[in-house]
Amino acid sequence: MQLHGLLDAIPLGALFVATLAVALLSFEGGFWVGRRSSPLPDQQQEKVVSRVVGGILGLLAFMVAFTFGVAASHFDARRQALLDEVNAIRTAYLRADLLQDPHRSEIRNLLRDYVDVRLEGRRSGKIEEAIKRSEELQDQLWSQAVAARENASNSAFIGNFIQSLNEVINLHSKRVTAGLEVRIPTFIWLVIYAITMLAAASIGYHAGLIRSRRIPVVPALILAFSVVILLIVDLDRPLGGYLEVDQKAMTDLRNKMNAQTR
Amino acid sequence: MIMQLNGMLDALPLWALFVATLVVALLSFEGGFWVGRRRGRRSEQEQEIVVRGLVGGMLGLEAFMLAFTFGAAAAHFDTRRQALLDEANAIRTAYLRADLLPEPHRAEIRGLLREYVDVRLEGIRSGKIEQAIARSEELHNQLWLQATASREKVSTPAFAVQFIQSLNDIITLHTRRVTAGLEFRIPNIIWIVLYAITALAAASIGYHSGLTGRNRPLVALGIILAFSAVIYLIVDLDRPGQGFLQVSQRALVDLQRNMSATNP
Repeated sequence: MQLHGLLDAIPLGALFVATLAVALLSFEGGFWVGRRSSPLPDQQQEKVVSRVVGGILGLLAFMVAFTFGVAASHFDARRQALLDEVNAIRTAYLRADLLQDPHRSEIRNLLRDYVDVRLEGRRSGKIEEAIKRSEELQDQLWSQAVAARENASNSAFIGNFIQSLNEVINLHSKRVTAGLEVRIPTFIWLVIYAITMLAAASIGYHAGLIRSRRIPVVPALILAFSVVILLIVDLDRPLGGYLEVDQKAMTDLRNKMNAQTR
Repeated sequence: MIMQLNGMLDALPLWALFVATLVVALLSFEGGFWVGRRRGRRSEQEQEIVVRGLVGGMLGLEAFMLAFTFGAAAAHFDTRRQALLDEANAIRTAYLRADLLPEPHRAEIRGLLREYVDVRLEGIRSGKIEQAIARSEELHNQLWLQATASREKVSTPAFAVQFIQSLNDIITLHTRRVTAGLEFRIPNIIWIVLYAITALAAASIGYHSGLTGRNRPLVALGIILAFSAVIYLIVDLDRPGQGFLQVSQRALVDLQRNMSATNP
């Protein structure tokens, strides 16, 4: 299903309010039904209802926590991909030193541009553009590497450089995939929201059965689950929100590169 | 809208954090207890059975969230441990491969690598991390200069390439260790959510006990202590260079000993 864009278009604050609203409406719906049902005949039946509500809540807690775990590991994967990319670019930059001029300085300039494009794409949010530009730069780097082969004194150094260039190109696709495609599938979101609604409705039903609306634990519970769902959405979204992968390693790399050209 | 990503809790020492967590949880419990007592008096005790289920759900959420965050922190700890081990191996490999280079570069490089290990160990021992990072990066540059200079005199370029590969590994692992140590942390926003859920869970337990009686059950204190202890453990795992849980530097110390043994 291609609903990512749909969910991503909603700002985090609005999503939080929507989650709260969905849960509260489900609670009210359940309450309405419970209120109209005749009271349970005995204590035994009430225990059954209580157990069932507990079970649904347990299921919801499990689902939400597992999804949190998955989203947190995706976040770590994005962090790791950035770090690997920085290392690969740095290695390629150093190894370019072993090539002959003019290829040496050409390649180093291209790599500096590459880092700028990566950082700028992140800063401006124009990801598609940055990806396109990165791939152009990769092509240019590759032609430089191939051209350097012809007037190289030593094929071993070229081989060495080409290895690290391949690494840079691979890590580009890894970062793009980790950032844009390794996400919580929309279907899982649908299920989580469905269980949230069912859980809130059964709590409401139970409260309706005993005709007691003012239970302060209910808003506390709804708040807790909504906050966790918000956190998962934030972890899962590569751009926007409070939580973003820190680009410090890449910025450091650019500073080092600039220091070395001077 | 990006906040400072990590390190919100770093200002507090570990024991103070444990006490603060306990205080937050106990105050929330008391607040809930107070509300519950007043409700209980107004004969709304029939809601007790509803509340019982809800408190169970709340505790379930709290337990799972803590457990998953613990898992993430433990994984970060393992990453730091693995990075150290990889670094020791990379340095050893470079030290061995330097043997393939001609003098004087061979001796120069070996001297620089020995100093590198000393700098790494000293940085951790003294806690002056920034200084050790700066010195390490200077040493990287010097090593690189030696490697490129040796290339001109080497009889077989394959040997120089071999050495350069292992030198690149050392530099890569330096970045990995620095990032794993200083940046792979539990983000602040997760801490905020964890504390919010802990407070809500403690308040719900408090409400439930207030609703059912006038005494605070001892198990409530037990569960609050248990949650605070787990939070303490997560913080300890998450904090490099502090607390009971620290990455053992043994691999590097062994390497240091080996290096001085081969070069008396």
